[in-house]
Amino acid sequence: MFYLMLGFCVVWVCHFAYLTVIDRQARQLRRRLDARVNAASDRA
Amino acid sequence: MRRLLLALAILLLIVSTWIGLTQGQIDPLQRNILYVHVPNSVCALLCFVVVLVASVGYLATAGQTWDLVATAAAEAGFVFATILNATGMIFSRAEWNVWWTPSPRLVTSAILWFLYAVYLILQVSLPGAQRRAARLCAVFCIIAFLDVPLVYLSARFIPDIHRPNFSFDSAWQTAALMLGMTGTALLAGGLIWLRTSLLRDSLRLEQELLR
Amino acid sequence: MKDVWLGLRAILIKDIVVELRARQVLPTMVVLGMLIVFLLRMASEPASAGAGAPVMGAAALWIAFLFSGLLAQERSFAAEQQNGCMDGLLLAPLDAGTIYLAKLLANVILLTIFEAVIVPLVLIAFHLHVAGWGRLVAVLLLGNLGISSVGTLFSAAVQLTRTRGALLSIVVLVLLMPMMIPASFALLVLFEALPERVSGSGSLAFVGSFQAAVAYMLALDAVFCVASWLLFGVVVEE
Repeated sequence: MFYLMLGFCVVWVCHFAYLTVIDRQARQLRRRLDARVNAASDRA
Repeated sequence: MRRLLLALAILLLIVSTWIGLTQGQIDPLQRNILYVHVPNSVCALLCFVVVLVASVGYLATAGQTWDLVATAAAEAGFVFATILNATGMIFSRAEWNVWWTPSPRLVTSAILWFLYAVYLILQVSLPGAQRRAARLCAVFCIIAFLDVPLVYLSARFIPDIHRPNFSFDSAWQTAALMLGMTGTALLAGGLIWLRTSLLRDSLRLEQELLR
Repeated sequence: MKDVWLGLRAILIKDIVVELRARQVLPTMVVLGMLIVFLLRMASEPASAGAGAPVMGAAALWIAFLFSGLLAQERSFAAEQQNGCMDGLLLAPLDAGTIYLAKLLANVILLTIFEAVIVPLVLIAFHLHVAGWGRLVAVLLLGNLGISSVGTLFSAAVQLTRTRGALLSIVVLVLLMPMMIPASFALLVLFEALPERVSGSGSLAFVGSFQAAVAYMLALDAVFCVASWLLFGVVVEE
């Protein structure tokens, strides 16, 4: 039972960790894009 | 669209785990890890093939997207290979009371993990023009791919501690496993797709900022 | 065909003469190999004294081989990079594959010289007895080709990076991992720690017999050499 739980925890943690990393990168990208758009519109 | 794919994949995974654990439970409880171990192993290898195809595509056409797909597939494959090795070790500890043993299948899985790790490190640490780095990683991938199947394919025909003697008793178990495979494959596809577009956007942003 | 041979010979002789004059890499390789063997002998004191000696000896030999081999591979393009010779090499009317073959041969020769020094040392340090010198030479040559083929290709690839040696190490070691199974099997048979045929489960049984081990190593070497030769042009193009 313990091993089963351990196994499933490993699987879900790995998947969610990767998804979190991707999500964080996506947010950062969006933030930088917005900053750039704002900068461009300020200059214009 | 991509998020829909990912949501569907996760849903399938949950359903397969549910069916596997309730209707098609395998007798010693810990063997149920197989429901996640087998699909992940298939996906780890599948991602390797994707990286190979993308690498060959990049060398043939020098189109940037191929390189991005290769990197994305390598990252996803790395996650799957990690899960493959980790669940494999947990299963082996539960069944045979050893965390690891140098049997051909297990060694090949470890080598697969290392190949992914080295590919990712190469992607990150080769300086100079992006094109050059991409080319070198593609070359590495091709040689790596020629490296592994030789050992792997022959491992299928040799008796090995890795193959426990069990077969599926009921249709529920087969269903759970198939659902798990589909779910994991969809997850792999979705992750690669998502990651590729993310890489492409960040690259485009870098180019914009430099202008 | 004649041009290929002339070009190859020119580069090969250049490399060997440079190495003989500078005397940089070969002594370092030999000293590194000796240190590794010595360290492993000291670190495994109780096991190496008796029945465990052939196993530790085989391990020490391959590890010394791998790490000193990496030194040799790095050398093969490091000097070119430093002195700007790389452009000269590429501008010469030579096929990239020819350059690769010349460098490969130079590395194989260096490693063979290294082998000649290290093998007697390992035999002495671990009190080993060799069951067939011809076969030992053949097995070591196969290992030599394996590490040199991949190492030469990627040595050209990692020249501009900061972590040059380390990057080359991880790339070459990971690609050589599958070869280490038949390689250690072959050495263990030659050091009389294993019978000629092994059955059961486990990776040594997977190899099965000495012939199978040699066949595996030969197949991997062939794949590496041909693939590296074909892909070398891709690696050095600008």
